[in-house]
Amino acid sequence: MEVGKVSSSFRKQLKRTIPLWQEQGLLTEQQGVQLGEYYRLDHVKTESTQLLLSIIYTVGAVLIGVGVISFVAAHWNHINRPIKVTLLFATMLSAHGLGYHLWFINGKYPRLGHALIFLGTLIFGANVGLMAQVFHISGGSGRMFGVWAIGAAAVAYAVRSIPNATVAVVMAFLFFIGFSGIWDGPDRVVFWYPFVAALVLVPLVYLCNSRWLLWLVMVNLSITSPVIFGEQVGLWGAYMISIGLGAAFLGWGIFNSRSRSFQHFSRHCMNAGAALVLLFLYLLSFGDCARELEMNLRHLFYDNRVILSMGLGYLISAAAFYAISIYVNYKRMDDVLTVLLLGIGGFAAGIVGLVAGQVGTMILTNVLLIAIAFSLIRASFSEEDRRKFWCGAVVLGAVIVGRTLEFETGLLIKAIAFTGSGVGVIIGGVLFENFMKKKKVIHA
Amino acid sequence: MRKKSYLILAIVFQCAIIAAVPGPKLFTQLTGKTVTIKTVPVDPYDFMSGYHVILRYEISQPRSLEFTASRHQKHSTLYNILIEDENGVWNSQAIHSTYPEDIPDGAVVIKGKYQHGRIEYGLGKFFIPEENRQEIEHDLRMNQRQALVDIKVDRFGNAALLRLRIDDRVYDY
Repeated sequence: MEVGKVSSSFRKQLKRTIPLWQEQGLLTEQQGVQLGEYYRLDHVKTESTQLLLSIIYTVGAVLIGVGVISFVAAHWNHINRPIKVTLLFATMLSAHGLGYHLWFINGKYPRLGHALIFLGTLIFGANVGLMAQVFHISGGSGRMFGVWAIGAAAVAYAVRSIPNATVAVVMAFLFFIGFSGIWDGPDRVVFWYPFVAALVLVPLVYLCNSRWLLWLVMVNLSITSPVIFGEQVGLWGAYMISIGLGAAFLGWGIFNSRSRSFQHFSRHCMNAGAALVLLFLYLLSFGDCARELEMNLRHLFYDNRVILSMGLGYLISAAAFYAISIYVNYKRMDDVLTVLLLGIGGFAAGIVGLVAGQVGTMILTNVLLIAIAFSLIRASFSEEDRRKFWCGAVVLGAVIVGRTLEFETGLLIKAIAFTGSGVGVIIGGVLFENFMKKKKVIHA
Repeated sequence: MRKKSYLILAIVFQCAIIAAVPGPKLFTQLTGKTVTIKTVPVDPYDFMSGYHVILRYEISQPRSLEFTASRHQKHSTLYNILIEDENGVWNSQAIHSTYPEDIPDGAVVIKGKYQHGRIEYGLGKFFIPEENRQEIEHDLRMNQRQALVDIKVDRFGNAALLRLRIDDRVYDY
């Protein structure tokens, strides 16, 4: 892992601990110096200060940006149109120009320069709204947010700016909201949204090398994709697109694990993929959802063929990406079984209703969830991974609780089920922690 | 060095976007024909856009043509042929789904999009100054049937809003 991706809290702790180790004779002075150089421990304090300054400048820029946006709402009518337009350009170019000067010409205040360029992007967004106001241009805010996203993305790409990229992702999401049509259905343009958003925003995540952006983009896609296809195709559309996205995230995580520079993305992608698949599998394990999905699936081929074709295109691309990532990397992967159960199982659960009906869907999803839970728990023992154990335990517990509540069994059985689950979780947790302690002793 | 060049390009791109926003409306205002249509307003406040009046038009739901929602697809483009009456107000004569080939002499074709059960022409918002809001609101409420709007319509059917008129009072911002 690159030194840059080691957390600053680890480096601070290491800086405090090295002198103690040297006193105890665990490290020589030479080794202490080498460790200090390798982890750049001399820069820890400076980097913390610089990070704080960046945050302060960015917050200041956001506040100024909000002030400028509020100015839009004040509606400044005593100035004639040409001067209004000149002022719009002047404020934006002043922020950008000063930022450019401080960052690239003067060079002594790169963070302040960056914050001013971010301010310039915020003013750009306000200017789009102001121009619409000056020329009485109608149209929903969605269009404005889309234009703002494009402008912010351009600057983010130019200087690898996380704040500008954040604005691009958030504005893209708001553009989607504006065009998803709560009252009269989505505009056709939003059906291309997941594809275009992934094409534009994913490279930005790598350029900026930011986990924050990675999560923003994954959340963006996870919310927007099922909404589009759920609205047009029904529950089956929402379910399958989400499973496809989850599988794509899993594949993405597997590919990232091979990269030295982006290995730190891997766990996050895998977690997001697993969470998405598990969530929708769990929803489908309920009888009402399974029945609705089965009915939706049987009527699918008679309606919305264009949208269906587009959705199938996304699905096939996601499935292919997932399959290729596993095929290329299965020898290096720790937990192939869980990944296979999530992806293949998720897809299968979406179509089994065609042959086996509602009951078949329910049986398959519940069996899958239990199998995934046990696979996670098994993997947690072999990999000594506490997170996997508790994830498996939560999935198992959720299945038991869900079935108990759904089938309206008598209070006595409910009491036994809940008590048994609780006792099982506690015993399982204690056994696992004892196992982990023994492993620590062995390693020590 | 590359970052500097890319940043300059990105800033120029942002400027181009802002300049392009009013482009179509400016073209329509400079080259279009002036047309007066009747309107009925509603008045909201939008934080992002300042004070504005939402305007609705008789030509958005032309009763004389028995315009019905079921005949048109959502978001489809429609072309409305307008003819001037003896009072100088332009009204709908016919609605087409493609740009009409036979346009009567003196008529104007305005392009709109079908949504929410109406034809929208991009003339829905008229931005008003905060300090004049109450005055305009009152005037509109008292004179709903007399409110007229002057627009420009270019040869492609695009329309741009010019001013709001109520009796002899002109609101031009």
